Amino acid sequence: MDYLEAPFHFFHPQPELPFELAVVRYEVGLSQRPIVDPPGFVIKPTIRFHLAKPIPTGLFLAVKTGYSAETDRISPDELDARPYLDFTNSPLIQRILTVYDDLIARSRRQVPFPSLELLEKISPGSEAPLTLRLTRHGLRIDTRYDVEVVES
Amino acid sequence: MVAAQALQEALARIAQLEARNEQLEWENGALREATQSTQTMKRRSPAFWRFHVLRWELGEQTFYPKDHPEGKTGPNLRVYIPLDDASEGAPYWDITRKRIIDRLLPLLPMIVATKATVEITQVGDGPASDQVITIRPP
Repeated sequence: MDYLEAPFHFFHPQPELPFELAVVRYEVGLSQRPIVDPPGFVIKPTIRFHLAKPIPTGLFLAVKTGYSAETDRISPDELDARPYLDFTNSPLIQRILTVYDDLIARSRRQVPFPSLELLEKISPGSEAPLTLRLTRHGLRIDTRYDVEVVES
Repeated sequence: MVAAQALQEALARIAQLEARNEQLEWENGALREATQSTQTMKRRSPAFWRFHVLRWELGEQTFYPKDHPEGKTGPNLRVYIPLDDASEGAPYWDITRKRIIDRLLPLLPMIVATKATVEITQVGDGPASDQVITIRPP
């Protein structure tokens, strides 16, 4: 598995507070994630959501480039220049892959032919975003995400 | 005439996107396997794990502590657990603490053969922490 292109934008949403991401496409690769205990970093599989612009106001407040919320916070301009968010939560990665596979399966069941709108949202070659509603539960290694597709 | 042309263009676009999504589906399958690589057994104290063992592999894992940015290699005991046992998203645990590996490894043939339950209780945090291993018969 290859590294995702740096810099990394690690997203730390508040638990139990649903948020929506308009995802144009996603990548899965490796990132170097700084850790405090022990000091250093870990290399983790990471999902990167490329977001449709404009980025929702205030989203940058939950993005960090390191492990400190005080010193490693990203600027709104940086997030605007590189509009993506990185998540290293392994169950979330698996869930997102399943969500997209389910949508592809759903498009195949549509008759007489698949909805162009749905196909555009799924396809990474299209600029039409798929809106996902995520809710974080728990902390640290117990972190879990609920993922819903927001139907328009 | 115009409507027929629009329909033709839409069908062509649908075919193009379907081909791309088929590729995406194939890529997702490969990614699913590649990302289920490590489920390290780490939790803040108090921590408790209970699981059964179907099989195990003793391998190596590379760590990247701050004072060794080039990476250090250590043992990694991967114990595969039944799907019904609680896990962190993959059906196995990776045990990297040498003290647990040394204690658990000799018992694994018996644990698998008898379907015994393994319980690990962590006491304390960080390098000073200790783990109590209990084997319970089925």
